Amino acid sequence: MNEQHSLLELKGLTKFFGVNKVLDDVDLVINDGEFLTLLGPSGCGKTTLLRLIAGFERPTSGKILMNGKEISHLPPNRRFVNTIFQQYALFPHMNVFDNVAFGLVMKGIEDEVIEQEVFKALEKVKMSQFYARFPSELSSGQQQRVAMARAFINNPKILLLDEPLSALDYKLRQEMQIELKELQKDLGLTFVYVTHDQEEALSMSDRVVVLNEGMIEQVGSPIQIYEEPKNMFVAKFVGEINVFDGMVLKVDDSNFDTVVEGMFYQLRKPKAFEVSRGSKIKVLLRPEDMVVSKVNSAEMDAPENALRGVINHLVYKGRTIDLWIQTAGGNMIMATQFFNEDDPDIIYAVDDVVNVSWIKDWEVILPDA
Amino acid sequence: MVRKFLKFLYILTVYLVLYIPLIVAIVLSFSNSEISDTWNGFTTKWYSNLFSNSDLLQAAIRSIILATMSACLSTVVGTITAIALHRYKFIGQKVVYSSLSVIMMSPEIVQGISLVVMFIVLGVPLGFTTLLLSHTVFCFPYVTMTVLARLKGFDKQLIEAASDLGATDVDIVRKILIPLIIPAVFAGWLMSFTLSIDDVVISYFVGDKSFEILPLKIYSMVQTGIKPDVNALCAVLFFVTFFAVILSYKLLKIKK
Amino acid sequence: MHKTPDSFCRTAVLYFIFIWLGVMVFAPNLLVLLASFLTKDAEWYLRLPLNLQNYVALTDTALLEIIVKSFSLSIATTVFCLLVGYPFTCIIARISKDYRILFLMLIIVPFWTNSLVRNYALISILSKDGFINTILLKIGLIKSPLVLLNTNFAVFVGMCYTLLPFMILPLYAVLEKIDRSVIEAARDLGAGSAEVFFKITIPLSFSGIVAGCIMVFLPALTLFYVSDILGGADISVLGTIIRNKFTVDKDWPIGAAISVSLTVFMLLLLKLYFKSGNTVEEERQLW
Repeated sequence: MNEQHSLLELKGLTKFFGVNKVLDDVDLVINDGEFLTLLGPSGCGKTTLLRLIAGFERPTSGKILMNGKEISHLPPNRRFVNTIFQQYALFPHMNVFDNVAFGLVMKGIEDEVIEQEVFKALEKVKMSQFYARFPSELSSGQQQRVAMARAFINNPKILLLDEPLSALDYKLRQEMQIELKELQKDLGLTFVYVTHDQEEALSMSDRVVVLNEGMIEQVGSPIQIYEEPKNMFVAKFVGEINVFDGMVLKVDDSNFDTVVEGMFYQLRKPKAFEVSRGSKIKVLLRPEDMVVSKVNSAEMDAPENALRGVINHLVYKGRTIDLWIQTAGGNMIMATQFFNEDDPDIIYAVDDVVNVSWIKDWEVILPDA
Repeated sequence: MVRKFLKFLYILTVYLVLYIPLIVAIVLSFSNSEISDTWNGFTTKWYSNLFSNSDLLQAAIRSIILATMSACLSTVVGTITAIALHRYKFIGQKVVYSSLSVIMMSPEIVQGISLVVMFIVLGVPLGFTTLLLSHTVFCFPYVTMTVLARLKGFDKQLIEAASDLGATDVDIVRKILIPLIIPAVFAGWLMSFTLSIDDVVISYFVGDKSFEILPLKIYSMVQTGIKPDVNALCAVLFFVTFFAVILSYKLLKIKK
Repeated sequence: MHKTPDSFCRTAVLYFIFIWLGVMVFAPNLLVLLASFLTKDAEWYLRLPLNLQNYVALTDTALLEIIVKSFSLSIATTVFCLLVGYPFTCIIARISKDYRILFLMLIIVPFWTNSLVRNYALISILSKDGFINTILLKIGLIKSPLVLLNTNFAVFVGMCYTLLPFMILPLYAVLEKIDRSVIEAARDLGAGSAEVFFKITIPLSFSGIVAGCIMVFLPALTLFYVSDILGGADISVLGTIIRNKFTVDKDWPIGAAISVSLTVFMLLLLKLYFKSGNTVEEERQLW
């Protein structure tokens, strides 16, 4: 993805269903060969956006350009775009071969070529031996593979995937995530992937588009989305996060002083916006950035830069342990602790008194809306 | 186990009761008696009688022709209606839905007299045409309902998927829609055929001597007593239809 | 979604449907409605003036007597068919999918022989020296043969026998769709068999019950041939009256008035049916 040339451009896309505005002035550029994920809660407009690109819906206003040419008025069968449907939509009256061949048959390609191509495609998704089966005779994972082969055999410019893994169980979903990603690299295709599962979005994508109520909240790499959320919606939707209220006391060149839960902190100035003295801010911290230490005697004062709290609830997760800590200031903090190989004796229990701090500079500062 | 046995016994009894008159009718077709309701020794003379009694055979053939044609017509009209109801949104859609239910629910006699009144008022002579039209009217809603259920049953995304893969509207109808609804269309046809061939009441009103179909012929014989050759005819018809249906069912399954 | 040249197709199809329904369904029924307000004419069947005489004639005592008799017969038939058909259909709907169709086909198969002939065959079962009497005499339950033929009972038997499938098929359509897991959930929540039946199965299949009852009740009022074959000379169903008015007496207006009343009655029942089913899905399958 060194040379980023734009393949599809969405300009001011707006879509109404009756009086409901489902998409609101969406601008987006999709680059050639990238794996782009549209992420958002249900009803955010991500599926509608996908359907607009596929041609199943027409935008109320705005344009869709492919390689600079407008395609918004073209029917689905005349766009170089193919879709993998959520429920796969395999034709129940055709066997695997005929399903995969469908697109090529529609193009009027000769039979021998179709046969070659179909088997090549089935080979790629490891389904060659099932070519004569009907969809009803396949497991959902197998149906998924057939649906993939049926779509990419047409050599589309873009492959659209509408929550394709949501019908699969956890284990299979994990496997398919990897396979999909490899397939995408192998084919060198542009994928536009819709999901509400943030883990899926982060693990597979080159870029993630976070949508909410028909508007784009943030576009960025998975790391950017997770580590540098632009606003509270993105911060809260993508992963767990602790939110503290703060007040700016003093600002200098690179740092500013603030008070959080009655404790003083010197934090790095955010790049995205200007902090000024007296303004209110939010300090956001991921649970895995929290540092927790046990306090043996309650009389001891909390060290600098640490909040005192009591463990309210804990969940053992195998590799990690999640702690919910009630602070003196009334916040409930979630902290994820990795088990320390060197110090296996640390055993947390409910009602333990702990100090909580965080790894310096890993906080995210947002203005208080 | 006991419960299962009782259930089995129950459905067996119901089927037995449903089939007893049928069996009796078939048995009596071998009875050596002038009237069709008593047993008087075995004979096959009614069968040979039947094939020389051109009147009765003629009526049966007319019935089959009528049922076949009205079933085909109902299937065409019913399928078109179903596709239109499924695919288009239009003013009066609700009216169409409710008239379908009204047709299916209204007593045959009401349909019979309303149709005959109209035919007489319009001056259409009673006979084959009026029978065909009337049978089609009371059969087509069943086709519509079966096909519509099938259309609603399959994923709308199939159509989108086909279109996404480059299919035009014509391709979609040919390659997706028709193959998918064929079983329902066939079931609708069979339903229409069954209803048409067994209809007495509507045919009684809109039919005429000029095209005397079997139910009318038999009805005119009821007063004087049915002869066993009618039973023989019914037995023949029953087995012919029965095997035709089994055969077509098998064929359909093989094709699948 | 598909905005290709099929707008012409759409117009043509819709015109066809409306003309077809208009000519073959609405026009005939409107004509009968009109006829019910006209006066009898010996030559042309109908003539002016408009009047309500025909509806007044419905309250004639002799006619009322038959109406009451016919309705009682219909109610008895409907109740019997429901009581027999409901458990029967429940069992059929639970049979494994491959065999269900076969069992359902077995219900339809008897229709392929003429229903007149099948009713006629009932004569040999019900007659003085018929099947039933022979058996009862042999067991010694009765000393002299019962008179079954040419009674209301015989008509009742004929009606039940002819109409039972019309109860079973609509019931099957709804019972088959009931999700097994709903019943399991009810059981899991502590409902016994009886409670599951009355609180889950019956409410979920209510629209089918109503549809089945309508499809048995109305024909049971009107199937004149069953009464002709099994009921003897007595008029026991409303259908016979309607038929006689049209074909024997040539008195269209009164026949039409009875028919219109029957239609109104049916529409009321249909209203009940749509209330019992989900009105949102008018397209719900009946069969």
